[in-house]
Amino acid sequence: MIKTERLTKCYGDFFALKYVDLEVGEGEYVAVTGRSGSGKSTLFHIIGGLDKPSYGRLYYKGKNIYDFSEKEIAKYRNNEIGFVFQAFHLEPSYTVYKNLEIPMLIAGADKKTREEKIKKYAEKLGISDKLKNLANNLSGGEKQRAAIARALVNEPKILLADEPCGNLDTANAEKIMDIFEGLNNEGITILLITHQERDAKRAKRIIRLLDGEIVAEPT
Amino acid sequence: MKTSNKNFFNLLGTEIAASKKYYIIFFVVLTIFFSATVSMFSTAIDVPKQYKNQLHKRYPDGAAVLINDLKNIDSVKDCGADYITIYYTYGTEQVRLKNGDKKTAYLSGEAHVFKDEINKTSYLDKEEQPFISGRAWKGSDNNNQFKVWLSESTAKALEVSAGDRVVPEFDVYYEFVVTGVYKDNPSETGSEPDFIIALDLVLRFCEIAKVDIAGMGMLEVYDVLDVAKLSGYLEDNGILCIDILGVVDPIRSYNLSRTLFWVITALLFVVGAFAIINLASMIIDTREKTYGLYKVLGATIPELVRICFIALIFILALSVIFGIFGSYLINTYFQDIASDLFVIDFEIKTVWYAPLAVLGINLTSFILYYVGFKKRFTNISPLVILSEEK
Repeated sequence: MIKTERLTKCYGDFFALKYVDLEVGEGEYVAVTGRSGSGKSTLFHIIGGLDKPSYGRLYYKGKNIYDFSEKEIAKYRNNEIGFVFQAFHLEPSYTVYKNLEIPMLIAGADKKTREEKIKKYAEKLGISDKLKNLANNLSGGEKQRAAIARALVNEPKILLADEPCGNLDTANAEKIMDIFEGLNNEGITILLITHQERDAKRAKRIIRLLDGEIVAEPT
Repeated sequence: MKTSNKNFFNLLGTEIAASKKYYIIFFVVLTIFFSATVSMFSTAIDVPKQYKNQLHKRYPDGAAVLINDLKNIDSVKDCGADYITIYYTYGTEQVRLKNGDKKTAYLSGEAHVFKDEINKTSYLDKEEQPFISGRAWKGSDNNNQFKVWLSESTAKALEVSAGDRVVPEFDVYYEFVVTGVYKDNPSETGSEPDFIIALDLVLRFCEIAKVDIAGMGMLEVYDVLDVAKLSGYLEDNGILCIDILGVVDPIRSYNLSRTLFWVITALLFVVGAFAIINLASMIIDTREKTYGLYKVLGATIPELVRICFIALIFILALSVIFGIFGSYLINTYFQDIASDLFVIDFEIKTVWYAPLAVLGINLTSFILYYVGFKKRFTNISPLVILSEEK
């Protein structure tokens, strides 16, 4: 589903990513791990269409996404990818309902569809009773579940999660990892960026990055 | 992909609701600005118009020559005018008439003084003064209709002649047709010239008083509606500056107030354009994280620009509507202030096209700024937004 070919990102003489060749198949659950500064976030941004590589290609379903126009890349981000961030990145002044609604408004979904999907994913993530609350008023775990629900409402093919448990306590982190496992079992491809070994071990495949290069991919 | 229209307005509503604090500030500032600017704009246009209408009503055929026949200090005190024009002759010259004859014309001059200062002049020392002077040929500019201002005593003396038509002839070339008497009560007009009176009556008075004005034929003629020319004439002759408390020179006052209102209006336009641009910038700056997030979630730059621009236009339009109402309130109460300061004793009307003009100018500045919106939204980097809170 996702394939990178000699993916490189450099800033002057500094290489954040060096000739990374990576493949993620449909339905896979892959963890990309490494120390701080190993290039995990850079890989996340490039796969998510948020940053362009200096060199190399990124193929999604056989197409190089960086041949797309800005509009097409935006559509790729909206329809194909679901983003989950360490800092949640919910709009604090919006209600949870509105936060979940935003990606579907951008996608052009009608009101009925929006209502149905918000209800569906809110129930799935256990936040149905929080829909009318302001996002700011949720606990850390609730915020991350709301963020995951937002990532899922457009039913993307890939869930990209960047340190989703970074701001959570152990109990909540476990719950989130359970959710990811459940989603993967339903067929969603998950690419998890994490420096936590305990989280990485929950994935079915681990890719380790060191100084921008893949150093180990255990079988 | 394009966000559907319904969803666009939903996003727009979301955007306004999320930034309501800033949009409220935007709305309040702009409403105050529009109220003030529309009020000033209306005043700048309407006050001179009304002033002219007032003058025109009072002096329908225009013209003014201020003369006086005050011969002594007592009659000066009694005349009721705040200032007087002293006409005097200082010599003669030969004037060739159309038929070739030569006649002696008196050269005249004039001086304007405050009534209270007449003692400082030598007017009272001079011998009997002719009480008419001017340039007759200016009649051809005014359909040969002239009026002259006279003091009360002169006017009273000529009242009996009211309505009579006289066709005087200084010579064949300069022929004047005159009309009736117009009188002003000096105490009502403040410092305006005391009376306006028709030429024919002046000439009749000449007959009565047996003053031979043949050959003089010099009449100063000014159209009171042409305040610029009149004001220039007054300036040339060294009129004193405005007395704010009891305006000495209504023409100067009119000019000053007109200039003042236009200056204030222009300043308000500039301030308003500046305010709109800065408020719009402030809103974009404070919402940068949200717009960055929208970008991450798949919104395109044109969509973001549209959302922000239309939200601001919506608030702008709302401010205009409330601003028009606000300007009406200001004009209603401003009249009292204006009357004290600028002796504007009539109601200031909100000119119907003033809001449109104000809106147009500021919308132009805003639309020019819109060109920069795209660049601003392009420069919002999702990566920076995402990394800031990590």
